[in-house]
Parts: sequence; structure tokens; C-alpha cells
Amino acid sequence: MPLTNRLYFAQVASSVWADWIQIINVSGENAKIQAIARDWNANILWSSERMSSPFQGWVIPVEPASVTQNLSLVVLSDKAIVGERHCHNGTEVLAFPGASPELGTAGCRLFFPELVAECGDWFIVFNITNIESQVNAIVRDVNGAVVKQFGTRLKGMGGWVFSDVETGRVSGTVEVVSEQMIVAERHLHYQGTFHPNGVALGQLGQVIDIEPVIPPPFTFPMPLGR
Amino acid sequence: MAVAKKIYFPQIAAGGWEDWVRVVNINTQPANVQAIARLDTGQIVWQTSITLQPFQTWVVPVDPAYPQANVSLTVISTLPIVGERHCHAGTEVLAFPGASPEMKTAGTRLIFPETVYGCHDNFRFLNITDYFAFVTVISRDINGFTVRRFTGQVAPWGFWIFTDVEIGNVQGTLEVFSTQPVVGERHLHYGNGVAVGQLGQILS
Repeated sequence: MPLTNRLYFAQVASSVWADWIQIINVSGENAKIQAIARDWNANILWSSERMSSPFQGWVIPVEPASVTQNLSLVVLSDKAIVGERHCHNGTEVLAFPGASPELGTAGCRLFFPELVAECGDWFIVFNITNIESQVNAIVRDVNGAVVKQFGTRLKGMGGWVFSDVETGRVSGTVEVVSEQMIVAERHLHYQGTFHPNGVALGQLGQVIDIEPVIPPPFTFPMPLGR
Repeated sequence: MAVAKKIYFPQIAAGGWEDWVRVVNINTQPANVQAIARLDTGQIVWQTSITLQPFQTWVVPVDPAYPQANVSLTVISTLPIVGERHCHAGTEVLAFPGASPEMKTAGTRLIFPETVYGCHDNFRFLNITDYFAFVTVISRDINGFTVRRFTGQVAPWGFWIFTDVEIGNVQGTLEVFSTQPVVGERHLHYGNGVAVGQLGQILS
């Protein structure tokens, strides 16, 4: 059953990027919704909540909190919700649905079917559990040969960013394997001979866990002590 | 089990759009992969196949294969695969993962969390079954009030397209019920060289 009452956004962008995140209560009853923004060290920096009528939209007013630093955003509800994020800068737009275990967009093994050598590739990984996780990335070329492997220890509810510097400007694919459940975003910024500037696209990592992964427990509303 | 052996793309675009579809064999064994393009009626107009080595990628050569009309693309493999589509025109790019029931991106109840008044919204639904699908569409405003409701019929393996004209050019959301599993795409065109593609989120 894909309905979920928690959504994860690995990034709310800082600086010149304008973020828009809308949440919809998809139940037939009023929903109490809580939004929590953290820095990538998992410190809660902002939170808000409100009641939403059935199928009413809420544009989360998180952006003033992300002026100087990138944040993550967790949205919890006592009823089923869906969400969407658009991150704008000129003609570049990074668009993502809100991710969750129930929607099949959070897992322990994520795959990105493309990596472009001459463009700017960025990856953001968000640990959606409270437990520290070993996270490893495997970069392959288009023929499937492993080109690079690297990893990190990622704090519970923390974020990790890597880019072309780490992946090695390869045309190929990226796989991310984690001990704990994660969501991950790819930001592809076009540049180079065959890719016009001013174009970007966002993608969630595709979950390729073979065995079902048990979603992490959560409480609603989330205590804001950390 | 999230991995799928069949993935679906409701559109390979005709006209001034350039489509790029990549499929990856995510197994440790070679996979036989077949790609099939169909018209909105479900009629097959093109197909090809390949053997992919473990984690090898394949750019499906469907774009030049049938330029005279929009088609859908179904990719079938003997082992699990993932895929991705980018549809380009200038600075506009519509990007979609390959959809499937296993990835929770195909179903009988879909929602799009946004429609935009003043922009151009375009929706298409691919029936991924051998049966006719009867589809009901509900367009709501941002406060959840129903603005429009209409129905359509999609042939087996066919697709159905509608736009702002049908949904009432409303700032709100779109929900779709279908008697058979479908995959839904939204194309949001800002009108200034910016576009966003989204798959319908499954509520069934």
C-alpha cells in the first residue's frame, strides 16, 4: 500500500536557488502536518505545523531558514500525504516528489541509471533513520566496469553530498548502498559541447533492494529536542 | 521487491522534441532486453532487442525509429532493469524514471500534487494491460474543492492525453482513477524555456 504519512526531501537549497515544496493531504479527513528542517549534521533548525483539509495544498514556508545553508526536510502527518519540490534558478529546475519507504523511493540500495562525464553531477544522500549508517557509492562506466568506490559514515538524519570530484567525471551509472534506509537525489547540470547551459534536472535514486526493507519507526508529532 | 523486469515510458515524443532513453541491467548475469514502441491505439510500430552485460547501459534507439507520431515504450527484460528518459527541446527537459508496479509508479489511483494556473499542463496515461481502462479524472483547486471531473477510455497498451483545456487551467491538484493499472506523466511547461516532468504518485 503506497500511501504514506511521512515524506523526505534530501535538500532545501541555499543561496540563489528558490525552493518550492507543496504537500497535499490525500485523505478524506483533516490532517495535522508537521515539517522539520535540519542541517546536514542533523541539527533541527526550523519547524512548523498546520492543519490541512482534504486535498488542500500547503506550500511549506521553509525557505527563509535555508538562506545560508542547505537543509533537509521531513514532513510528517497523521493522515496520508503526497508532496513535490521544485528548486529553481533561472531556467534550471530540479523537481522531486517527496520520498518515502511506502512510495518505494527510500531504501538501502539505490541506483542512478546515468552519470554524464562532461556535465555537472551532484548527489545528496539523506539518512532517514536515527542510526548512523555506512554509505558506499559505486561508480561504473557504461559497460558496467567499476571505476570508483568510496563511502562515508552518515549520521542519523544527516546528509552527505558528493559530486564529479568523487565520481571522477565518468559517463556511466552510480549505485549507493547503505546499512540504514536512505533517500538520495541526483542533480544534473548540463554543460559542455552537447548539453546547453541553463538546463538542470533532478532525479531520485531508484530503489533496487532485493529483499523488503523494514521502514524505520517514527513518532508523530516528532519531538523537537534534537 | 522493488526491482522490475518490465518498465514503461508513456511517451516518446514526436515533433521538435529529442528523446533519450537509457536502460541498465542491474544484475550480475547478462539480460536479454526487448523494447517495444506503440501508438496511442496500442498498435506496435517498432521493436528491437539486445543482450546487456551486468550493469551495462543501453540507449534505446527509439527516437529516430518512429518520428511521425508520439509513441509509448515498453522495455521487457529477462532480469531486473532500471531506466530513465530525458525529453529535450532547447532548455526544456522532461525527465522520468522508467515506471513499473514494482517501483510503485504504476497503479489504479494516481495523484499529481500540482497543477498550475497560467502555465501549460499536459497529462498522458499509458494503459499497461491487455484490457480497456476506464479512467476518471478529478481536478481540484488548492483548497481541495472539485473543479472538474471527466472520464476517458484507454485502449489496451494505448495512451490518452489531456491538457489544461480539460482540467480547467486550475491552480490545484489532479487525481486519476482507472479500472486497470496505468502510468501517468505530467508535463509542466512554464512558457519561458522551462519544463518539468513528473510521474503520477500512486495512491492505490
